[in-house]
Amino acid sequence: MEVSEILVIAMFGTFMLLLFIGYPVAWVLGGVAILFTAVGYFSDIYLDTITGLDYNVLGLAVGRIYGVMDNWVLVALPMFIFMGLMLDKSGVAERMMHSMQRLFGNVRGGLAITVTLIGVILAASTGIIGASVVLLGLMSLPVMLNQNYSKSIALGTVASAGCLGILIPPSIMLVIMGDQMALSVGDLFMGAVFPGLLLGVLYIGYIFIYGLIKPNNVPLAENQEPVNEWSLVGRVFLDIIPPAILILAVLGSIFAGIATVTEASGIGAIGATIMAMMYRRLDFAVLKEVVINTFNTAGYIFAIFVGATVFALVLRELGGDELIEDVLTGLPFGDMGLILFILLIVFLLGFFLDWIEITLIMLPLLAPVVSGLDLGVDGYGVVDKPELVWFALLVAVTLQTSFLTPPVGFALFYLKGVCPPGVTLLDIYKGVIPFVILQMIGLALVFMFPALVTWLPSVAYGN
Amino acid sequence: KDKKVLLKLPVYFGTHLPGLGTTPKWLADNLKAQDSTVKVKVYEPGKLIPPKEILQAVSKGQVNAGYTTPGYNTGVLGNGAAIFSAVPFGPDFGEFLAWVYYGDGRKMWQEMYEKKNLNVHAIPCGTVAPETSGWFSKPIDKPEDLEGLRMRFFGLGALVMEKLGVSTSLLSSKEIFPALEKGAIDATEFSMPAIDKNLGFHKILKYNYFPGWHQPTTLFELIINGDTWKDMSKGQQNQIETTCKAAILDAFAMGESMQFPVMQENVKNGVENRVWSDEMLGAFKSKWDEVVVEESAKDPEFKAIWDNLATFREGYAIWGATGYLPRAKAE
Amino acid sequence: MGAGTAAVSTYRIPVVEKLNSFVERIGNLAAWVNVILIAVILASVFMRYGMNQAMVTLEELTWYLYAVGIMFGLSYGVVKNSHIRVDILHSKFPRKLQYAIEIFGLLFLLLPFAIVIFHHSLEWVWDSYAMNEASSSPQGLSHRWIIKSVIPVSFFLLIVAGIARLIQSFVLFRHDHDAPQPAEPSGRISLLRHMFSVQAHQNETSTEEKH
Ligand code: NA
Ligand code: NA
Repeated sequence: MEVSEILVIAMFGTFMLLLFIGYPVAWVLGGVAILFTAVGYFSDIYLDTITGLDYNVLGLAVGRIYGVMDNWVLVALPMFIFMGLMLDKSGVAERMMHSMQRLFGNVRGGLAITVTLIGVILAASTGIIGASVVLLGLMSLPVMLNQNYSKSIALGTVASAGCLGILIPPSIMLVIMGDQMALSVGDLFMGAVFPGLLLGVLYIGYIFIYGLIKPNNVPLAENQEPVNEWSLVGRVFLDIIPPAILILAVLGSIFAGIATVTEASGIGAIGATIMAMMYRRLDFAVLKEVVINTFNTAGYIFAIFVGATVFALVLRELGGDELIEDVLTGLPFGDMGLILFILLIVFLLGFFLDWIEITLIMLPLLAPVVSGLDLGVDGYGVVDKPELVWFALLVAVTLQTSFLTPPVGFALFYLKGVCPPGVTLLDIYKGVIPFVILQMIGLALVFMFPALVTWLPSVAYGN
Repeated sequence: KDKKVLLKLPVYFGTHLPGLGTTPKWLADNLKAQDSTVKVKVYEPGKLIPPKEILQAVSKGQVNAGYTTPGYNTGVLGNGAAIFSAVPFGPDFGEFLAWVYYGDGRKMWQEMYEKKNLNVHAIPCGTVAPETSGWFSKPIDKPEDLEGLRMRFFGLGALVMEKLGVSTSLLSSKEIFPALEKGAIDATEFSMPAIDKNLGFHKILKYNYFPGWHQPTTLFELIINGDTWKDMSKGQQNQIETTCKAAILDAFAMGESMQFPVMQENVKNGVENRVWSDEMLGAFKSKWDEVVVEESAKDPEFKAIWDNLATFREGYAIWGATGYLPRAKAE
Repeated sequence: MGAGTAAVSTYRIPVVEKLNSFVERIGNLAAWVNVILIAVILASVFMRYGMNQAMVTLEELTWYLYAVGIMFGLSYGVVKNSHIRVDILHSKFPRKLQYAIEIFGLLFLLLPFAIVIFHHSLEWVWDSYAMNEASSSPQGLSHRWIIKSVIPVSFFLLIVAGIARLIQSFVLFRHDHDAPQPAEPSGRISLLRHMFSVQAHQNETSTEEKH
């Protein structure tokens, strides 16, 4: 093995090691980059490598950080975060939740199915996983447990439904992927609609069948309040229509050609604010909380961007790109086999890392390898680089799964934070297993039928 | 024996774009084929550094070479720099090279960097022949048809378009198509038919206009850090200079060969290849003349470069207008 | 981390409090750029669709504001300890080891990184100023050095926040035996607390906001 290859592997190894001692990811990335600049420098002197790394070269990092700052596409990110937090803090989302629950509460398994449906709606309106999981958890867990639902199905439902938001557009993950892989965010958004809905359908189907097999685990409420059906439907409509309009305003303005993704995100942010006003839930305290939390959330997401861009710089100077490309293209799996292998790696990484780290570090390394493959994915003459769009969504579904897989799964931690006493992390782990399997089935379907991804954008943007 | 040199070469355009992006790869391959002690390693846009940062990084020696064009660095170099890349209603390939190599072009080009204390050695190293004038969703028969259009347009030509009532924006190559498909812009220019094809404009816009009055010929440059350049042997320097000259020739021939099949294919896809009327060209030209007067008044450096080129062109016209057969007109 | 914030109010390390509140105040102010950003995006949509005028100035202003928002968030996240950690093992470590890791991370990861970027960015901004750099679009904004100086300023704040945290971790490391047991030592959980404090952790939020 050549010295330069050893350096690349050592850099990755050091990164993983330091990651697991629990120091913040962003600074591990940045710090390891500085460290390995020094390693490369001395290796040039003593080990006769030609990395060319020295203190001066690190100046490139400033330009790269500036590249993150003037990235027009990523402006959408803080805006979507703002929108999601506004819906959450103003109680608009909560209202919708209550309302839907009363509508479907007296069907067997209906409570869990409702949670999934609301998960889909939240997903299409915000896409902030933490918000969805916490909201669904707070609203529905006590109700389900009081109604004697088994812990597993209740927890699994909430965790999985809460995660749909990262896939169903608008999705900050897809915005980042589009940027990293030079793909149209519009294509990715459209491409994600069917896979996202497919997962929702799989969840609902599973809950329904589960209810037939183990009715005692999803019992009906014993004394469901009698309600005046029509007035209830009316109220539900009143509570659901505004978020629905918001969803249409955001997605519609992207797809109907009124606004770019960036602009739509701004429209979504102001839309959510107006909605909060209409419900008379907007005061200065709420606004301030949303503003500060948006700032803080964007801050820790972009810290990883900043660290990762410097890490990637040094890794490339050491020759990391070529090494990974050589290793992957040298594998004897064939084109489709290689895709499966990459997905397996992403899935395994997902046990320990979350989507931001994986997207920012792995995707740029993998994209050139994948675009060199002959995958025969049909773009119907409309979708550009259909094989990459398809691949991006396969990765997206896999990454969504990483939210649910122990030991490090964001959704699981969020859920643990809002569980009633007596629910352990182990209960949650058990609860999500069937849903992780459903995710795998969904992934397999998207893998076997690329049209699930590419057809919709081709219709949306075709003549 | 010369010391080995590795030029790490971040480029402005992806190497998948024919002509625009392929030249630096061609340069690397041909230096290698010559068994040169100069090795060139090409880094795709953004892999090492964002394209806009290439110039300053090379000047500081953070990376020892870069592939770009002065017109993309006007933020730092001033609008005069754009003249070395492409001049609206400017010279064609032969005349441009005459000024650059045998007029004062090359000298002023290098002086521009020295005046700004930028430590780079600039070598013309690539070209694209005329660009298309842009892609539109409707026929543009008279100047009024342009009014109110939202168009992606780059550089000095954008000032002309603004004067004609077009509101221009400067989306990067990967943002153009999404912006078009979302209707955020109604029209765009980018490059030549064979390159534009990769960006998919023909799927949305059906009127492709010629000639590209805003960029009749565009030159690109290899910039090498000044210290790196001085440390090279005369032989190495000569190899790079000569291979760059060959690269320009190759890029020109390649560009000339690959447009017509794409134009034919575009027609099959429902695109109309249209030629500006004399009225339209006249309108663009008169607005361009205004821009030149304004820029010259604002910026003495622009004026110096412009005047030098203009003087050369006056002389050249004696030969250029008589020495050649008139070009065939499109029907 | 939870440990840090809880202990600060017990120990009251004045230097740390001063430095943190300096960074925090600037952050609290910078946070509002996102509101201005919304307004600018709306203005730019309105200009384009209402007035049929694309404004390069507004487009550039959009990412200027966004850049301020994200870059000032870096140091704020250090003060609030909201940066993402992989804490499966970390949360099980004894507190003394956690402080040691914090000190190691600050000395060998965060601070070197922040100082290197800060140092390089100074000359980079100066060049931009000296060359009077403007947008490369003729209709764009001039004075690029203003937005470029966001990097040195935000990395300076990051260094300040890092130093504050270093002092704090060091003091806590020395006085670990009498520090109060933190409720939740995990960075991930405290992240949750920041994001969803109203519903999730009423009580802990109130302690959080005290310091
Ligand atoms: Na979503
Ligand atoms: Na996981």
